[in-house]
Amino acid sequence: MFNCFLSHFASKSMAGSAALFPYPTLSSHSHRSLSSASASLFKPYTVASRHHVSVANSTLSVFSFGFTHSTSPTFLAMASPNAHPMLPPYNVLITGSTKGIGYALAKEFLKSGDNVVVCSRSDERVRTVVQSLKVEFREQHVWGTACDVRNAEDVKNLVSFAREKLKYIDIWINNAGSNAYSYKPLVEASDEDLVEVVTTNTLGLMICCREAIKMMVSQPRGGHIFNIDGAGSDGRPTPRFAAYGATKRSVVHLTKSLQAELQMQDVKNVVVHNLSPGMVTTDLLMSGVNTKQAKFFINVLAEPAEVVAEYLVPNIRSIPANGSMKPTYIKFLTGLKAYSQIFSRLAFGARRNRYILED
Amino acid sequence: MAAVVKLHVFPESLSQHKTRLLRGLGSCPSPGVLGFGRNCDGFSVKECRAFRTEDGGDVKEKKFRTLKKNGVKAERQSGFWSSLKSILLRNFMVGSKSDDEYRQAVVRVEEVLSSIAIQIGRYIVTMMSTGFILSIGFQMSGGDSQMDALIWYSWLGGIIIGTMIGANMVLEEHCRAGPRNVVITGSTRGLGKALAREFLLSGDRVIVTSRSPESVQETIKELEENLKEGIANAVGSSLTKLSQAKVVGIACDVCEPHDVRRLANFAVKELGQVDIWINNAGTNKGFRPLLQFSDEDIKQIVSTNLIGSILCTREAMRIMRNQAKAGHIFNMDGAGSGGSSTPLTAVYGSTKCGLRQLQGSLLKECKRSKVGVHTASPGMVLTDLLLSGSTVQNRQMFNIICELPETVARTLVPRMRVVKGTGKAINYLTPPRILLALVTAWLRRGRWFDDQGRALYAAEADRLRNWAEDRARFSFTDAMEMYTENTWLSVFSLSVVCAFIILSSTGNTLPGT
Repeated sequence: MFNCFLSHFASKSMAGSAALFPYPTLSSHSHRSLSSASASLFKPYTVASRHHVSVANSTLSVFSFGFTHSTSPTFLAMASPNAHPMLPPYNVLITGSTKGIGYALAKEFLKSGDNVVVCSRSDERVRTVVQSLKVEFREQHVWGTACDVRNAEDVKNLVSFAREKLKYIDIWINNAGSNAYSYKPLVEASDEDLVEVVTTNTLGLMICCREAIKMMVSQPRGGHIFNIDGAGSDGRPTPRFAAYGATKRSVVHLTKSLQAELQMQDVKNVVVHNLSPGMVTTDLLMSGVNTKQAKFFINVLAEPAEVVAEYLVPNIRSIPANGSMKPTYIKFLTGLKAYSQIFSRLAFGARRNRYILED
Repeated sequence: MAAVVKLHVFPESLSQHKTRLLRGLGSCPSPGVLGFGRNCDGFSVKECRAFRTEDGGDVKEKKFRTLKKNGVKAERQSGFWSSLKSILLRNFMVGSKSDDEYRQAVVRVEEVLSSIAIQIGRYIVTMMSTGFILSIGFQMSGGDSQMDALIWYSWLGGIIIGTMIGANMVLEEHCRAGPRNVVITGSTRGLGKALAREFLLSGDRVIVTSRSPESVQETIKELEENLKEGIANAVGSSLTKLSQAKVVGIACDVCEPHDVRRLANFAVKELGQVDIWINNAGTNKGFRPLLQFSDEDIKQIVSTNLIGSILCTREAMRIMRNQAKAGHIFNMDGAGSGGSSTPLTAVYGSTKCGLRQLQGSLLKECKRSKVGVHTASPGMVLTDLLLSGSTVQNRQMFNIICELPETVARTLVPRMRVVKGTGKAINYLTPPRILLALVTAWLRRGRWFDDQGRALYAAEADRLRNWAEDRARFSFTDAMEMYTENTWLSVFSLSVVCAFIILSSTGNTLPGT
């Protein structure tokens, strides 16, 4: 048997030198192609990180986007006349921004030197927030007005207020959202809660979007609208807050439809984006911690509003800064991040009892 | 099986059942089993194929026999039973009880006995036909013991499959019997009205609602007319079925919590319990960009589609939890439910997409309760919702894929009536239907609208007249859809049996070699 093998080897050894040769070259070639592949794989990420844009949720669009940008970013900028970068400071309007993530975002924008309009339902809260922000950021950079997004008149007044104070708005963030701070099965939910959730999250957002688009279309600089998504927008069921989930799913759908609509109407200077803060330790989330599962996930995945805002604001600001006119979906809590955090919790017990005591 | 058969020995559903079974038998085996049955022609001596044909032929033969038998049975029974009835009547005439009661009692006895006799007769015929095939098989095998065993196997397989199909049909028939209590929101126009009519003509008790009390009254009147016509045309058991049907109504704005609660209380008061609750109320307000929608438009769309559905679902769940029998809630799908973007109907689309999320969440919440949450997707229906503000180009497209509300209701209602469990999706536009529409797109060019976008189809009243005649006719696509699951089941089990036979035959031959 061994002989047979040897003879076989000998007979091949003639060709061996030749035959062996291709191997290293082949492997080196494959290495090169691999490295080039990895380079092309890597490039979009570098670009993305430089632009601070994590584009869309499908890998396909990450590829195409990254590719076109890495090859000729200047070409694109020249191709569309509207794509010249907007210069900071930006004028930012955030709805529902007297507490929670809206407040954190407003603060972060102010830190970056932008002008911010804050608003919320309560006149009193707006005043105190504006006062404290004015103290913190010495100059006149912040304005505030009461606005109930469910009321179309209020939203129109908000637009005229913003126009009066700032002339134009570059970034409009639809942050106002509600869960009526109740987490129960739908059967037990009260009329008022259900109506409040739907009118604030869906109706209010639609009216805000309409007014924002209306305002921005006429602005020379155009504008960017960001809709904040929430639990349920990815289509995963949201028991105990079914109505909230339904409204947030409808938000993402509305963004998608509006993107298609604007494209259809050939509106180039207004872009509607989605913004996903992930789980943020605000009242809205914390009012729902009464099950073991909820405690686990909040401890593992949630972050304080300041941390989230710190990540989101540079990403948001980079969009007008680049002059990019592509719809994006900025996510704080990406799938990979979520899974790695769950894994580290399960494997090393990290983040246990971080915010809430788990028994 | 015997127990199952007993179950459906209800006097009222007897003749209806018979026709249904005939229908089912005629249509069900044709798509799937016929393929096997065809092999009968090439009844070759080759072992494997011979067995398969044997099996297929067996099932098919059985069906035909039963089919024929049903016809024969009906004739024979009339002669025999009428004589029995007269004898019974004569005997009891001398008793003290009144004539009427006797007649009723006798009629009941007659119905029960005849249905039992039919079942027995059916079995005898089935067994005889299979025995006949069996004997042919034995003759062809020529006394080979191995072949005989295989024939027995295939016979057994045939019996099992036949029983499965039969049991399924009987169960479905049993489910179908009895009136349902149905609440349909937004049912004075379009699809809702068509659904209400279809339920009513299936013998159900229906509550119609809408925002305006006048249109509710009008609709009730109209539906009662339809019911009267239906009763006038009905004979036999369908008459008894229709006599239980009724329609009542109440005005209800689905986005007003008080109205919805009143509707739920009204339903409980009128019907006792609610079996099916359909959240059909929905509105769109035309096709245009979001910028051109007024505040009021957006508000109405959101509150009707999303708030209305949520409130109605909650009320329905509330009353269904307190009743003995399980209830089913249907939410209507629309454009955007699937998640694809809906430019020009952004508001409508996003509310419908939200409803899909609601459905998913409720499914989890209602996991262990009696309440079933389902979705029904009517596809594209020629109603005001779709037609208001549609362009000529739109209408050309509608020609291909759209359907009249009555057509859609006719397909959806039978399925809604027999829905079981939770989380079912009842769709009108199923892949075969879409395929059919695409294939015949050219033929469908001028179906509903002409080149200028003018409507070519008849008004509702005319449509209904034609449709009432058409109703009795049997729709092949419907039957195919209805029984397609059974067919696949039978084909699957048939192939399993075949595989088993082949395996066992090779198992027998291996030790020999």
